[in-house]
Amino acid sequence: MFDINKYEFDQEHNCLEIGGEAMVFHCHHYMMNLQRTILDADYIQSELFLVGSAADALYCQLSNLCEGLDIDASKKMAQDIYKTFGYGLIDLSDMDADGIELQTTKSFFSQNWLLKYGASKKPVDYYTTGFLAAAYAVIYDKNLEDIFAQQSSCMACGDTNNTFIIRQGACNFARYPKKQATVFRDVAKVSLNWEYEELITNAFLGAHATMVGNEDGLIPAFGVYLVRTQSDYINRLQFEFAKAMSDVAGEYGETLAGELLMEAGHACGFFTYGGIMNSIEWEGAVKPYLKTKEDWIKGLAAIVNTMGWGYHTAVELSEKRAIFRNYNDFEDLSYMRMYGTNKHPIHWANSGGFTGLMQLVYNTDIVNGEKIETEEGFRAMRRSKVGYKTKMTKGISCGDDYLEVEIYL
Amino acid sequence: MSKDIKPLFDWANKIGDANINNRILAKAMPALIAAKFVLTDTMIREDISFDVPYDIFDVLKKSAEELLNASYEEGK
Repeated sequence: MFDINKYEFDQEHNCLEIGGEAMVFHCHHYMMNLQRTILDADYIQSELFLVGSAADALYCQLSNLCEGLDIDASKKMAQDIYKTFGYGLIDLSDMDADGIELQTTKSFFSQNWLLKYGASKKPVDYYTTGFLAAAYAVIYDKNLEDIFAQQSSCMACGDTNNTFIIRQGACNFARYPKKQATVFRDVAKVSLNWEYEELITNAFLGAHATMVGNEDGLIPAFGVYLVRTQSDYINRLQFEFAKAMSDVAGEYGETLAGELLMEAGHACGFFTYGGIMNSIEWEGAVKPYLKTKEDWIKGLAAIVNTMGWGYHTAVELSEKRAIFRNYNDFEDLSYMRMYGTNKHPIHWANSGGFTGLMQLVYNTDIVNGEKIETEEGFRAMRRSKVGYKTKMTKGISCGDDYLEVEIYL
Repeated sequence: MSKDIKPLFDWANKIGDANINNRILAKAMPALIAAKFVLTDTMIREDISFDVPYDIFDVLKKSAEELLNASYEEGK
């Protein structure tokens, strides 16, 4: 099994890097919502970047992790990180210089798509398609440009297993330029200003290492399925989608894309943050220190600051209005590595997550023990007449020192 | 000739996701742009009725039905 403990959590920047790739947790609600949002726009050739984003991130990561390893050890490394990161199980033993036809019945994407949305008309495990293309390229020293990768059967479509075909041939997914190194924005941080912050953060520091794939290669935690994903993979999906929508409809398309991307963040905020607040870990280690609803938000921030998403804090916080910041947030750092700078904030997942958190704490009865876990609960919360509005005001990729978002009624 | 889209979106909201309005708009976006017709979630939610040309209504109806895998029957 891949040993996550070999990779030290960067406490100064609240991030974790493995094999040169920044790693972040996401829940199945976010991942499925994001992918469905992209696929809804069927006039976009999204398969190209859905596979290409994964292939690019994994090619970079596996190139580093497999350096100096022989073929068998490299195959084991690829299998192990796939399982450890929560994507399911793959067996690369049949892969050779000509490629592989791989079958599996353990797939985060296919199983969760079926669970959340029911049957799909098309295969949905684009990530694994890209992962396998990258693994083949790294293990057999091929160029990604010369690899054909396809998923030919999918459990989400009713098939008994997922089948992937990886071989030499004309490349059928997007390729991207070399990325830049991470540039952190080292500025003085406004803290959460909460007396228990350090206590809670220290209690959960290192806990991320316990969230690794089980015997099925899945990470069930807090009532959701988590994946530890390459930040540049998941964020490129957002950026490429927004760009494609902008290409079709200019500012209208980009605005609509932003609203849809933020909705995926809402789902993450509701289900994952709700799951954390309903968990026994929260009950035992955090809840004793919570007196007000604002404490609930600060307690949650103190925990998620150990998860690799940057440093979350609130500079203003009340039921009617909050201003949140994230120092070295994963979306902006990804954007700058892959695309450089931008004129508009692009941190839709963070902002949607903050908004979901406000709705969760102030618009539900979670602080009094209400269980937050159903799709219907999410629909009811999102349709609430007292819904919060979100304004993304600052972003590191825009030249600011931090991400800032205003959430207000 | 025009037609009110509010009943269509009310139906979609009754059985669909919380953000079904934006999903429908995104799916129909190329047709909306081709017709130079800008429609937003806020416009749909805040107006009591909202008339659009028949061809735009048909595109929105088709998009909604595809996303929801259900048929829209007027008056129901």
